[in-house]
Amino acid sequence: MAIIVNLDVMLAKRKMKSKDLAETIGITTANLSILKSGKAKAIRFSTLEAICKALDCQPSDILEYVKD
Amino acid sequence: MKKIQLLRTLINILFFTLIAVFSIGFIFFILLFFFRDSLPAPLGMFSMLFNQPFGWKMYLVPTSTVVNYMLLILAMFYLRKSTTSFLKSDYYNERVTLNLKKAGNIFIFIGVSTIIIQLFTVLYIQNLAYNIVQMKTNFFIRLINTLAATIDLKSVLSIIIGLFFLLFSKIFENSRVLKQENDLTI
Repeated sequence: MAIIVNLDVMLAKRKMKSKDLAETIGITTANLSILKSGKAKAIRFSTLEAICKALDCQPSDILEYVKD
Repeated sequence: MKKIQLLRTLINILFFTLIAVFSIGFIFFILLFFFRDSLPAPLGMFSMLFNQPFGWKMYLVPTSTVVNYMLLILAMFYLRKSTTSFLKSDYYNERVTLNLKKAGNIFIFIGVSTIIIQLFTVLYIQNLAYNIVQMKTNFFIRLINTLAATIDLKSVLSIIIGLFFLLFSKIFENSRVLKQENDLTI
């Protein structure tokens, strides 16, 4: 897929665990895992907003476009 | 839910009745073929079926009827499988779309093949009749007569039902993709 999710990188930078982020933004760890692995088909603005708020970053820090 | 259960019950009744009738017919055919001499007189009369003076042409209609009958049993089997998933509220299953598609294709095949076989039969009988009577008719009148005798409502209904099943299959397929996307939206 052309859109890469760099959530792992941001989590490492903020030294935060996936489980803690999932609890903070109110989604299940299974859904966060789907998002991290790139299997997700779409992301809601509300989820993106919550992630950005929890990690104190911009959407561009999490999502990246790479040419196929 | 009650409607699905009713549908399932009706499909089950039809499916098992079709199988029972086919089995009885098959046993009768075997008896007729191998033991025609030892059968009682009223049943033995049916052995005339094997002594046709017109050759293979006379077997075309019965053979196609038997094949269509077997295909109808197969279509019922696929519909039965679909309703099993419906009963479990599992509508967005790949098997449901596949079974509906197969059932639809079978219904269309039954309708089209019945019309084609009927067309050949009508043409054959018309030719025989016109040759015997030495009748000269207008081409268009003959065409209308042929079409009227060929296309029956049951075959057209079978094609319509088949197309509906194909449409349902496509709708269920689209729904499955949409549900998958919805489930993978975080």
